[in-house]
Amino acid sequence: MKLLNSLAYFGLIVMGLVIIATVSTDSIWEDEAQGSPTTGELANALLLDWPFAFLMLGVLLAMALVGAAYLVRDERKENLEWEINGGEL
Amino acid sequence: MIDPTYAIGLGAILFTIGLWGAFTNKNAIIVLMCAELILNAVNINFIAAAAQYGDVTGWVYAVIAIAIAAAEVAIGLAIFLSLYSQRETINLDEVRLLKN
Amino acid sequence: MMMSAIDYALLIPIIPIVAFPVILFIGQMFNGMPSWRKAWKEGGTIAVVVLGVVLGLSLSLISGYIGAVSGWDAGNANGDVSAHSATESNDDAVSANVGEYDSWINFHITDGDNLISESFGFGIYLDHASVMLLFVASFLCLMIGIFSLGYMNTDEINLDRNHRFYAEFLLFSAGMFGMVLADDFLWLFIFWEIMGLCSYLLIGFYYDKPSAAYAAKKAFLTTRVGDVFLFIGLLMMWNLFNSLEFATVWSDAAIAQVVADGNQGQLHLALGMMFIGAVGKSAQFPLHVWLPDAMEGPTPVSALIHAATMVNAGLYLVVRMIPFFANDQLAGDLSTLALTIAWIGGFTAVFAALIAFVQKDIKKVLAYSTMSQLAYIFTGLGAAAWLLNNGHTTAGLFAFGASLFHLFNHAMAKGMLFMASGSVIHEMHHAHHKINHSHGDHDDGHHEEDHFDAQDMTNMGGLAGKMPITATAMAVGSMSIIGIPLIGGFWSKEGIIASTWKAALTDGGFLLFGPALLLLIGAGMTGFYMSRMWFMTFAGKANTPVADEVVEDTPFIPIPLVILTFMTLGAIVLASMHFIGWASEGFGHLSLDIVSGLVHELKHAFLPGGDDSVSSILFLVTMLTIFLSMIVGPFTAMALYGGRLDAYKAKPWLQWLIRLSHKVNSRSHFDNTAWAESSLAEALDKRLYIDDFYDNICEKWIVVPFANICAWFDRRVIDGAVKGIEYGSQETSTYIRSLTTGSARDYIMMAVLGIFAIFLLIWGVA
Repeated sequence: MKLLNSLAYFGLIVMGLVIIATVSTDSIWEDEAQGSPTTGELANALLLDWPFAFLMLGVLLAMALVGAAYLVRDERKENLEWEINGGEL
Repeated sequence: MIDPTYAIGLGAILFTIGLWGAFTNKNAIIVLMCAELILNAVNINFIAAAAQYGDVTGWVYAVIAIAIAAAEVAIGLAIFLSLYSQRETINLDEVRLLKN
Repeated sequence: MMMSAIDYALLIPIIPIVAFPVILFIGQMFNGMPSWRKAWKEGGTIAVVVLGVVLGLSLSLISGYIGAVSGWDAGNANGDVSAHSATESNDDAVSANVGEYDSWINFHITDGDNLISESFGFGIYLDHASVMLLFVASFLCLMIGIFSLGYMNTDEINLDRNHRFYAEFLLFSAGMFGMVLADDFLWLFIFWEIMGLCSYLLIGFYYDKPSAAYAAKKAFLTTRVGDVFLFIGLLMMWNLFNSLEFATVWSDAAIAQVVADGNQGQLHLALGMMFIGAVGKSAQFPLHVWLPDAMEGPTPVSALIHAATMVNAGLYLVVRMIPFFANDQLAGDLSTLALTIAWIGGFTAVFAALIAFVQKDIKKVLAYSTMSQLAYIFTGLGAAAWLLNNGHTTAGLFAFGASLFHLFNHAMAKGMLFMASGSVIHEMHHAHHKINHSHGDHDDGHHEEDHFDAQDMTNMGGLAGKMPITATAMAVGSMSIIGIPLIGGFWSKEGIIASTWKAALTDGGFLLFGPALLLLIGAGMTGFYMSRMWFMTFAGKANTPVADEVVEDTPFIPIPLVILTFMTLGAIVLASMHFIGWASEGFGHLSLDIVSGLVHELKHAFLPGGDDSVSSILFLVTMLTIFLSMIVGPFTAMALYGGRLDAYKAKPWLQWLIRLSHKVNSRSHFDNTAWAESSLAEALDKRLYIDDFYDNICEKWIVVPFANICAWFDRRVIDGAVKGIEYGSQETSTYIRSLTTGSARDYIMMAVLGIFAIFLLIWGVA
């Protein structure tokens, strides 16, 4: 356990350095940058080229909301009584 | 334009820091924050690539990643809240519910 | 007609092999059903039908062969045979492979590589020796099959087990036929092993008897020792010739190659190794210990396997080695082996005869007699080999032919003798049961206190009147084995003895005097112990009340006995057809002119070779042999064991024998108690301690240390490996389990390590 711990620490540092070094010197960056796309293009792409993904994102966020709301519900007795009595004490 | 090397380098550094933080800290919320850091580091990568090639697909991936990160944080915070209401602590060292 | 017969030759070994599992399965299915027992004789009828078909095929094959090859010679006035041999070259005569025949059927296993398929395919090879053995094998298999119908199926103890017997019987016959027809040494060896397996199965047929199981094991292991040497020999042959086919290996070109390479010594050694295999299979000294114990098997098994066919396998192997001796490129190189063969044969002949003197069990006497007679044939082959190797071709060929003829005679006679003894034992058993059942106080099905040994000759006596057919068969068979003039074995035995003496008298053959003398002594001894066996069993008064009650009424048993009696008596016809000359392919077509042939053979019995003058020494030798074997031996036996029958009178042709024995017995004062109680007799009873010696060596020096090594290996290495795996996996799993601490931080650490690993992979690949 301790060994793995120290191994993980060490590995992290090394990995970090290596990532930086490798990725930044990679050959795909050698061409001239062609400039960022525009926001208008983003909007077009999202709605026209990737509609399904956009929709699913929405669904996902909705589900996350519902899930979060359920997980933080308060189960104290007086709250449950309030609910049963139709919202009034 | 910015030399993409810097953007990628920033992304890499952020990724490492995030990973380090997730690994080291005891507080659950800090760990969640570090997870966010990791995700954002990856987003920086996507954007840099999109800038390099002028292709909007990189931006789309970044948007998707942001949305998913948001969902994840929501759920994560909800779990931590439940945990606190049960155990009165969110110190990861003291939470050993998964012990065999 | 010839074409079709040859084409069916392959069926001869195949039909029994196919019938073997058929009988087994059908037997398993129908076991116990009364119709299966009665009408089908538990597979016996199937077996007999199969063997009959095979015999038919063999006969048509043989007649086709004879018609095509050696021709019938109708009436050459003097049996003028020398002309034939002079025109053929020497090695042609013995290694004549009958060119047209051996390429007719060659079932080569086609492989990618032609050379291998050439060497390992099964082909049919026919020459005079294999044709003769094929006839012997198929005929005797059928006869003994018929005998078993009567013997095995009327014995309570065998009920519901016989299908196994008949199946294994057929497998064995397939092995024998295959071996005789095979065209290379490899297939010979394969079928040899099949026969060894069946011998084991059949000796241990009564597997619940510990003595039978022990005997089966002993037989198999002893012959195995020989087989190891045989295999080594085959490997050496392969090394020398790159082929094991007869045609290739005997050819002048191949042998010339061997001589050119200077490898005669290797060839000599290879042949010697193969001979050791033959020694094991044919129960010669020192690998003879299994044969007497093999009598634990049922009598048909003893008759077929251990008298008439399997033990001939060793002889057949030596016969197939003879062409090497005959080849003049190897002249003089192989003499040592020839001498060894002759000496082992001579020694075993006398050795076995000595032990047979004291045996009380009728089957054991016959077992030792088999050993002794096979030794005669070995000596004859050894003498033939020596003569051929040293250039005396005609004499060598005569010796060879005489040995083959003796093989034929012995097989027929011994098979019949064993069947007759089986008949005696069977009837004694039945009589014993009859007596015990007639005291009707206890009526349990099995008699556990049945210590009556139906095979013990001291329990018999005076059976000649009650079992005429058996007594006749046994008398004729014994006379053939002893070598009474004009009956079966005489022609061949005289031939062998005369040949050995002739070889001994030739230049440089003085080492053969030993075997020659031993054979002479052995002839007298044979006369004694065979007559002893006959007179103890059939003459004199009944020694026990059981012997009084014996009746010969089992069906099927008399049929083969009668047929074989006539065959043995008819050997004189074969002899006068120049069988000896024909068998060795040296000189002689089979002649149909019986009378002149008879005269010719009588003359030639005294002198092997083509010339017409009678050598005085050999004449003396032959007379001496006849005297010893016909007079000294039997009369001594009569003096000790002869006697008049009390109640029933025997058939006329036996009655004179009984009366003669009574006369000799009543007039002689020969008392053998001193001999019978001597320490020599004791030692002989213990088989000269050789069995005990082998047992001791095996147990103390071979089995126990080897078992210890194996036990150590099993404990340490194999168990150690398994336990090691068990321990290792347990430790690993305990360690991994310790990683699941339940702490979330530790799990995050795992995740990080995982990322690390993936990164390494990707980085490494890139």
